[in-house]
Amino acid sequence: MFTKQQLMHIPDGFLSLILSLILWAVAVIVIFLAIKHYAKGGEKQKLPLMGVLAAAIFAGQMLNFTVVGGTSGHLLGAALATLLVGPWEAVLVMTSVVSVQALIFQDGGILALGANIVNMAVIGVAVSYAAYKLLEKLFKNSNWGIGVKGFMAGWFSIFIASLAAALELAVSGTSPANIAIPAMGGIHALIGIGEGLITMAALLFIATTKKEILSQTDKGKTVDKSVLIAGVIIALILAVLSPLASSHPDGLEKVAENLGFLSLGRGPLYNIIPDYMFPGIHNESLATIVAGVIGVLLIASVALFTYKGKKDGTQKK
Amino acid sequence: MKWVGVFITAITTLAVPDFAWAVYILIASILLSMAIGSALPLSEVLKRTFLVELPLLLILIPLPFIRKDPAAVELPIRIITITLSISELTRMFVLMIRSWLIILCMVLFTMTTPTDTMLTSLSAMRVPAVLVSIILFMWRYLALFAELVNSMSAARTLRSVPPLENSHRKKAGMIWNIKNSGSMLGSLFVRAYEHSERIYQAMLLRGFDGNIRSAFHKRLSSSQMLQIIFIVLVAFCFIIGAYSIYGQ
Repeated sequence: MFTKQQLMHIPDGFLSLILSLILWAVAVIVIFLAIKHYAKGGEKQKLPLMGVLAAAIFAGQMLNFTVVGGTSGHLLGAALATLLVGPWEAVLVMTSVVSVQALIFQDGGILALGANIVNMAVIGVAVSYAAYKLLEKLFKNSNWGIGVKGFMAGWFSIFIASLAAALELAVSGTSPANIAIPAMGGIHALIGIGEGLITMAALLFIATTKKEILSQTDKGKTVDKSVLIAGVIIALILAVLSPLASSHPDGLEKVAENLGFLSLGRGPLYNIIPDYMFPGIHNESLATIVAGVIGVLLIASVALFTYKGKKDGTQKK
Repeated sequence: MKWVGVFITAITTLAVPDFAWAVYILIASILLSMAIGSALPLSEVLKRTFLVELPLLLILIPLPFIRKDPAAVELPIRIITITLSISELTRMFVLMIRSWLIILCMVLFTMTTPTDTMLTSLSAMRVPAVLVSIILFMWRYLALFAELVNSMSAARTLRSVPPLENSHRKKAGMIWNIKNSGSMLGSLFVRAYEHSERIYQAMLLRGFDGNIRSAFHKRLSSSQMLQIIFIVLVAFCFIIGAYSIYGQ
């Protein structure tokens, strides 16, 4: 019904402009790095794999599974993608998924797309990679270990990414930090369990049917140290920052202010009198001019379009 | 080209100060007139925007009630006193308008552009070819995999007892469900892998050597660049104008 799971896609307008642009820049940088890594790697075979995998993940996100009887969850897939094609490639895969979701299905705004990419494609991938590789040393490739590793990779990817999203919302002044962070974190800790379980189940399935496609579980595979470290650092930063931020929501608002006057967080600082709600009260003449301009433009465009429509109509005959 | 327009509109909508109502009305009227002129059924367009907007509303509506604000107004209703922050209410209102406008813009874009063009034009926007081809692959195979998901779900329903009906299996129900979904997902991935192997073989046979060449490699023509510059200037004027009229 209307319990449509929003997952973590942040819509437009929720993040301040500056933050959106900063995160866009980060996303672009990471994407370029990922492409460079792919170009150097020489495993050209991976290209169609990435594309088809993205389709599989997209389709898989439509799979609903019941969690805690009643609510249904669905999956992100970053952890699985990472385990199948490697972290950098997974970044590209998830970027495509998230981008198309935003652009064509409006699941997440386009300005916020940079942020969504950073949250889901970058942080999700890096953190799950880190979790998996770290646990690998612990379990040394036992079959049971694969399950646990998969679970943790899945859980961490969702949880940490949600912390990032909550922080971004708080810094933009959209939601107060002391509510957003625990709320998003809490909910996604639960959703993360679902993701972890499904990741684990899928991983075990693949391991038993076609073990070789899990390219990342080969013992001989060199660990991508940079991703590993990045993942750990990101997770630590977010894990530490979030409780701090949620207990000091005002501090976060200061940060929001300092982000410049384009930030949405500026709103409540001004005493808003309801009378100012409509244009015209502030400055009569300017308002009339503006209204006039609007009117003219409206009429002009409507006229243009109807004229064009008529012309095409008669021509088609 | 349209990408740029959408992007710039979105940025403008966000960049103007919160209460620049005239600008919102202006942008709304432009978009709506485009909608009318595009010969799309207006009800469909609006329906779509509201469909997307609705979950946002669900998130946004509690906010004015939760936020701590010294200027809040107290509304006693029966036993419960609800604190309503007026400033928060207006901010929420503004947020709704902004996001609705941007959504309207995007909906117009997607409903008027055939998906193929939309995706291939990404390369004209200098999106790296690797990413564009991944996206295109994904788009083409999405239908296939969506179909697979549906048929697998249908098969699952047809072949098994829905777990929740059998009360003593309730707990097992969730585990079963997840195990099951995991297997379905896993088999999706295995199929994806096999498909991609065949695709790669086909690509090799047709001369793929690692360089991605695209038949749709268009560069932006100079007239389009001019249009882009024009739109940027107009947007800039909007923003500056809005600030001068509405202060901060």
